[in-house]
Amino acid sequence: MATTNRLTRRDFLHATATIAVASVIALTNGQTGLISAEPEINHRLASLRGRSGAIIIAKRYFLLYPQHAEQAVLQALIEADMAAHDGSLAALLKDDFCANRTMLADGWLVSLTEARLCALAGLPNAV
Amino acid sequence: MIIDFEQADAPGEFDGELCIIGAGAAGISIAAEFASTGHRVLLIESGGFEFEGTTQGLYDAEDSGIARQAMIRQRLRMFGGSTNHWDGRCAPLDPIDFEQRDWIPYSGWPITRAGLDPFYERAHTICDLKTTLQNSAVASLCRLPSSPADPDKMILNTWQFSPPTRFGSKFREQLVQSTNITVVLHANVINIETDQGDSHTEHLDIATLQGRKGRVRAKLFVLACGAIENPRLLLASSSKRKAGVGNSRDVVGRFFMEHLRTMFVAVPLRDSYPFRAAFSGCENSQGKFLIGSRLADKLQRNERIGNVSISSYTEGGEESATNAAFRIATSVSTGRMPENFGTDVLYVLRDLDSLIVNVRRRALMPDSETIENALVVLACEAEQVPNPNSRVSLSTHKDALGEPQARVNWQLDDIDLRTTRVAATTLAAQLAAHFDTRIHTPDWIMAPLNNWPSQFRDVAHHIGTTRMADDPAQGVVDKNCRMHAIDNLYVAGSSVFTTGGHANPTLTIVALALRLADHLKSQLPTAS
Repeated sequence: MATTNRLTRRDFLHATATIAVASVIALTNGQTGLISAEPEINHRLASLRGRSGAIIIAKRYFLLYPQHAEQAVLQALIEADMAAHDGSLAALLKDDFCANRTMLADGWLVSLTEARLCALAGLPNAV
Repeated sequence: MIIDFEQADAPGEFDGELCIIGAGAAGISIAAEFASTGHRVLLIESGGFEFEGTTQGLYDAEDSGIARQAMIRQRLRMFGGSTNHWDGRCAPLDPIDFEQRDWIPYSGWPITRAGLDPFYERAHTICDLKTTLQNSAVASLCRLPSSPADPDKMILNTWQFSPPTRFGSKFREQLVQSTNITVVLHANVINIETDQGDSHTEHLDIATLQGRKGRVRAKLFVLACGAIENPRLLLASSSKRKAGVGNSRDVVGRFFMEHLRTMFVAVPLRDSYPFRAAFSGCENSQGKFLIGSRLADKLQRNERIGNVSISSYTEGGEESATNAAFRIATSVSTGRMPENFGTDVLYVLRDLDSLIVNVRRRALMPDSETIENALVVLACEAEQVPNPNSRVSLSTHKDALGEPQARVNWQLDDIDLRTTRVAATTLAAQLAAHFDTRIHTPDWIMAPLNNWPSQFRDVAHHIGTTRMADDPAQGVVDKNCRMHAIDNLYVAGSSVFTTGGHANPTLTIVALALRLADHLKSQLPTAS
């Protein structure tokens, strides 16, 4: 899919909505971590994959954190944060915003976890 | 009594105990306080009872700083002044606005909010506001859910709407009938004549656009022409001192401030009810209110920034889903085929989300206003910190009376950008964390352009050019609104604000005018 350099409202909403659904799946499966809910999460990540919004967010993330440009590193970061929030992605996202663990992508404030999910979905294209 | 100075049979000389220059919110509030007191009061107004283009032209001014909306359209030069076109939005300044904040240069009023509270109460009556309730009391009145936002970051802020009161219409009859008040129309003050020591006002020179000239004498004078005209008149009155009246310290005209408006688009992601309730409106028997937020005092202190409010800027109108649904429902319930049925159905389908929210809201809060649109535009209005380089001076251009126009050199400081930047990130984080809502922030706020000041929108709130301060080096008037240098010349209006806060200025203008009226009464001998 062709991507532009701008993160439009539609792109942004699609990316965040996909992440939000992922958080619901993690909760309803009663799982304790993102990766342990792998089939469903992978499905959602697949939805993000190739999406222009997710790729733009991923690129911004890798500009700030080039050392995270590996799947294992991103998975470890997300898993650790998820575990600290009893497997609740929703709680993790809320905590990210409350604690200013955020970054800006074209004027949209994105939580670091959202950005990491996009980065995970965007590998390797976004690096 | 009314005298039209343009009329050939009008007297050329006037004499009173108190002379008020300018019949806007401040001038009329003071004059009305003197009705039936027995004191001889002159209220001098440049315009007439109706709008006149030639008189309005005297408000033309030159911009030499950051580009602004055309100054000639921001104010009205007629009886009632700019209250003839204000939208009536009222809120008092917050207590923190009056404090000396060590991170904001030149902050700190010589009076407190508590000291002004009794006058705010009286100002509510003048502005036809039904209640003095604010914030949590208003939220309770409107049956709003408590805000989930972090109270150390973002707190509830409410505004109340005046009808809006048109001061000219409201007080015209009272002033016309008053035996001790003389309203002089079409009289432009072109000079304030002081004594040799520039410490006492002796008289005013007045003129009409047709060339008629006259003179006004009084014991006490009040300058109430707004924050651009007040310094303009002081600076232009240079017959005794080149720097103008009461300006030996070069403070007159400095510290010109505005409220800095930035717009954000808010996008509710899921159930947007908490968000919509937090940025809404409400109308009931107690009045019409706007619900919004402001940055918490603690955050202002921690981040070393100014005060900021955030409110919904959304307008509903013809195309709103709720209004369209209402039209369809009304037609159907009366057995008629709805007019423009197809168009209205489209309006409804286009924004089902807001229709559902509004139906739910109506069910929970029957007297609440409709909130429209899935996308909500939020307006952030930030305090501009006092800046001596932001100033009103005299232009080389002359007006129709041959007097120098005002030159407005509006300047901002880095702290002003930082204030809005913190507001944007705080709002974005709070809405994302607690309201399932995201906002889009304009790029220039986070990655400032070289011309970032010109990205801000001014809102025609002119503030600070004859500010109140104990120290004559930092302000033009003292805590009683008397000019430091002149023993019988006072100033009323937003030009005396020491700092601007975020609140719309009219309520504070009126409160300060009432406070000044009380002081002036104490300065005049008891009327016979």
